[in-house]
Amino acid sequence: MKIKLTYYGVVSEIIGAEEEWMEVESNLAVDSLCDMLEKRWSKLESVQYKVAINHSVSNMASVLEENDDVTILPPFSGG
Amino acid sequence: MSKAQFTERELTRYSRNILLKEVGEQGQHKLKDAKVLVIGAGGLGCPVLQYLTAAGIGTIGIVDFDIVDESNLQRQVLFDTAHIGMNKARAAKDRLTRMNPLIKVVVYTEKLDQQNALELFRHYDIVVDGTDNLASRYLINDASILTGKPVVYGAIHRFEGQVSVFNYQNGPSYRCLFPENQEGSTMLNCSELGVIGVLPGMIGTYQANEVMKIILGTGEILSGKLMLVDSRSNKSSIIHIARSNEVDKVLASRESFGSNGYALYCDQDEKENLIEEITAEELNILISKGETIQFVDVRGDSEPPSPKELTGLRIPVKDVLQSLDLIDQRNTVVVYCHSGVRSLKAISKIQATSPHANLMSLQGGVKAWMKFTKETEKNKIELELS
Repeated sequence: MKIKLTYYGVVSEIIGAEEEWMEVESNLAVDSLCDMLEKRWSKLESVQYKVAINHSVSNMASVLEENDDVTILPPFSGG
Repeated sequence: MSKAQFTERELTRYSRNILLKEVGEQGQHKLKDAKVLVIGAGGLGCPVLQYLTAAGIGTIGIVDFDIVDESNLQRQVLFDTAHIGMNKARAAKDRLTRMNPLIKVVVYTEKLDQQNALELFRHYDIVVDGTDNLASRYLINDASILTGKPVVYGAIHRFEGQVSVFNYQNGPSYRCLFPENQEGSTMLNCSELGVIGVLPGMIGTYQANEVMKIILGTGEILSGKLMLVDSRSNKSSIIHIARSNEVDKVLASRESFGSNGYALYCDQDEKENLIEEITAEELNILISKGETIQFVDVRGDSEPPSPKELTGLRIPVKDVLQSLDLIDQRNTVVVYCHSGVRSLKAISKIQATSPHANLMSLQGGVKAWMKFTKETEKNKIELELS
């Protein structure tokens, strides 16, 4: 199935994109998505980030559905 | 509410506020009675202060220990060249009292810390977070929970900004979004990144707008919502945040508020160098040699159980100092957490009180350990198969 990923802050800098569609296996849980991303971009392992599904903060066990809008959100510290 | 009638001068100055039916004279009285504490008179603080002053907020407190530097002037629009070298809170007051002499501006030139935060917050109705580092953000969050004050939060990263209102009428707090215990070293640095001056101007203006709405009791407050703004694409979106048990955890640890090491986030880079680290591979060698090791897992109680090879004490970082006696320092002591950041923090806490303690931090934490054992297991199976 396809999901849409939107990256913010340092996450978008590591991945080198702001948003993209990604083909993933059905019933993928958020923690597996994180593992997948961290395997591909190992620098993500040391970043704290939150995952939101369809604009609501999710937990690691949440299961993704086709066309879900997934936001990967690190904290911003600047001011 | 102040019963005194507005003066002619006030009625003129605030006439465009008062004209709005959502404000009126009654709303203007609310603004006059309000006490707002702005922490950080930097890129975010300047626009916040400017609009709150102009709007006629009766009492504005400014906390900033920093001094105006020439490199600030590109975005910190309250300051001019003559302010260089002056304390930012004082320089801001100088400008703000000229903008609006009818309000009271209180200056705090000391650094916000665990000793002064609670007392300071108690004197105000709303706290505005315009700081530039995570340590202060957690400190402000926790102090606002303990004093029951809403926090109007703003933060920026290069071209992107975040705005939210935390701890508003039992809404979520910053920790409900980023609990800190899933920490990562990359975000925890206090070095400055570049920024176009307009972005903090935009985000700070959003913060000022939230302050106005809270005081006036009008519109929708960004509570439970994080607004994300990208100044490059002009895209903005709102992420919904739910209140988690993080708020109760802060309330429950009220007693230890003064002793939590918030500043460690900032000092980490320097302290890391002084702490001995051990890799998963090295640790495995020690274990297979049969060496007696005192393991200390500093993750929280709600996190996964300790790996069985690393069984030992389980002491969350915040309790580490109170539980020092439990650690048997005659043996090699290995401290670990999820990713190897909290263990460094725990060790620097211990070293601050007992400098001779000989402790090692497991590099990469349980995550690195699991990865290592998984790979060793895989290699073993492949060997057997071949």
